[in-house]
Amino acid sequence: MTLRFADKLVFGLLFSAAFLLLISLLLFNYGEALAFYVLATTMLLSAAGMILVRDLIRSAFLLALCFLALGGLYVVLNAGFLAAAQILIYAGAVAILFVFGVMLTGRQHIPEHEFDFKFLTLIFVALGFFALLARGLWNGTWKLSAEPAQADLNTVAAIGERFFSQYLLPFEIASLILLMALIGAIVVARKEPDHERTA
Amino acid sequence: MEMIEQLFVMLKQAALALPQALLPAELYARYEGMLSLVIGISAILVFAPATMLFLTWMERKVVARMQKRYGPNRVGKFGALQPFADGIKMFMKEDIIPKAVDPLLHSLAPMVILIPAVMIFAVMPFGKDMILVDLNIAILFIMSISSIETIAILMAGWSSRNAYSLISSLRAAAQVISYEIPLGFSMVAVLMMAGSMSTLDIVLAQQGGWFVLTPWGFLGFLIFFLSGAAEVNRTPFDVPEAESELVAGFHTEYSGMKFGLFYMAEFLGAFAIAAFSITFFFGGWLDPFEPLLGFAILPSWLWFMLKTYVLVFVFFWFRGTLPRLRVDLLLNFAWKYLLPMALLNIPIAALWFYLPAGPIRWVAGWAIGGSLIFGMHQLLTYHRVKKLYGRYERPSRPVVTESVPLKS
Amino acid sequence: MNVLLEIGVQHYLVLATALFCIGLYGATTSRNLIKVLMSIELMLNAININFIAFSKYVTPEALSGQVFAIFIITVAAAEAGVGLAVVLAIYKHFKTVDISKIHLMKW
Repeated sequence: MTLRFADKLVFGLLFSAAFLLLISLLLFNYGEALAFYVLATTMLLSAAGMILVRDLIRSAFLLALCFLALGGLYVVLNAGFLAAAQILIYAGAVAILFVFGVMLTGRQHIPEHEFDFKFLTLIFVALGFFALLARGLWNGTWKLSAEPAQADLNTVAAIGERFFSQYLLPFEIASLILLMALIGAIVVARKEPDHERTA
Repeated sequence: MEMIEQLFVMLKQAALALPQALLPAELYARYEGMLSLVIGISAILVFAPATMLFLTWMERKVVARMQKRYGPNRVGKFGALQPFADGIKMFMKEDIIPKAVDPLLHSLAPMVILIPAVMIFAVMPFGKDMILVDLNIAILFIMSISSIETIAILMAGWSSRNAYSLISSLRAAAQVISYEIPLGFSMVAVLMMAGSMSTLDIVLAQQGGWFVLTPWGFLGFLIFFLSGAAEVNRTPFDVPEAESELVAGFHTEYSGMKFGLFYMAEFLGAFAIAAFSITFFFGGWLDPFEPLLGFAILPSWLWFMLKTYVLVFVFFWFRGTLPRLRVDLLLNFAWKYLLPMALLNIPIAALWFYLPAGPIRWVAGWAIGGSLIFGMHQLLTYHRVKKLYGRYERPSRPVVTESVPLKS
Repeated sequence: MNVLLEIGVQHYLVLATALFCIGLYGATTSRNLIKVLMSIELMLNAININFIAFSKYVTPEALSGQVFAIFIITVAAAEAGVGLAVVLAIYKHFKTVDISKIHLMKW
């Protein structure tokens, strides 16, 4: 893990260049673009890293980083409540659940797929899917709202109102789903008592 | 008085005066918000380590007094310079990275744990007009930020390649996730009554009386304080870093400043829990005597600090008094006692909300709420006590029999 | 340059597509069950970005996008919990989480 002096120099130059770029973007009032690009890059890199890194525990932590960056993107999108929920649920609970899962199943070495025809097809499917969708979405015309969203809208109160009026039924169903998942997860994952194992 | 009250606000204005003089008016107007944020953040970045230094000294002194010792008394008067000496020691020490560890995760973990510990200070109302950002989701922010610490603990425990560290981090994760639920529920009652998640609004809503005086506030405070103590691994909930069984838990393999960062995060967490208990239940920076006297005795930030340090003292008191809980009892306490109590707290708050204001509310609210709380407590503890005693031989009661006259 | 610097709904949509495709790639190529689950979480999150972006740019007042995103988060959390429980059960039975080794549908 020790870096040579030349490596340090290169890293330092890269970092300072990136820093200068960020500062100049900020000074020219492109704060939103800046936040978007920084967070989006972090998110995509950590997501890609999660897939590519061999060490499973590292990929679980990279997943947590990806969720954190997503929370930041939600802040940029004026959805503060969702950002907090995202970090609380995903980074604070789901990612930790995955870390637990990795620890409990042991880090057995599972060889990656060999680089064969099937593998190539999958890469092409993913890339092609991205190209097709991205092109369509980028060039599409969207019925945008005339007035931009207010940044200081109290979304918590507004979302709460929606939950208890318009979306009451889905809300209740969601709570039922959570209860079912809770019971189901316990039943599936618990140790079987000895008298049940004989069956 | 007004000047002392607004001391820190005025300091900030003074700091802003320099860029105001240097920059053209138009440019200054555009960046004023950003500059004041930068000043506030710098203030917090100075305040947080200073608090940590003071807390380490205070803990050692307080616990020493409770154990009939003197505590640090060599460096400076009353050992007041001891934390600085410790700090210098930590900086000078060799940073040992064991061979077996995962170097990247190992060195990342102390940084990851410190960031949320400092970030939490952003929504803390230190005094009148003394809050960095008045978020309208402050309560959720506190919860979500503090849940990041679990990731860092798991990171540290896993990357250390040490069985004790791993056990400790698993314990810590289980504990933090379990206690987060009662912690969140205890804040629900507060936000219901304040009608807002913003910490500033919650403080202002207590001008008519501290929340801790109401039945739901009282119960909520107890739940919040206890689960908060568990969240930041304070005694009696410090099983993750139990010195006597796990050496030091997830930070066994750290030395030098990296260990210092863990230490700092822990103390800042304890301070934050105390400060938010004050904010949510004890009126934050409000002066309790101001409604009676008509004028403020002490500036608001001093009130905040005074109240917070009383609760911090309670943390140290716990440390000096209580033995550590066993792991299963610890989790049982969260799921089988605190969680039902926290759920009960919400209907009590709703009842309080619908009672007409005035003396009736206090009498009826306390009568109904208090009896509900007491009944629930009995219900929950009866079961546990019975189970606990069922396992052991119950000490037999001395049977009173008729006195048998001795044979002569 | 202006197109890149003024963030609109398209930027978020393309970003979401990229994340979705990363998730798709991971879900199809990974041989570890847990990694597959993680990739599925990525795909669900990509959908959330879409909803919230539409909520900001198309219906800022109605907030229905944010409400939908919350439902998705709920379901995804439930999915992660149950999914991991199933993975643990499979691991207990087969002593492996390698997908290519798990080819029995009954046990």
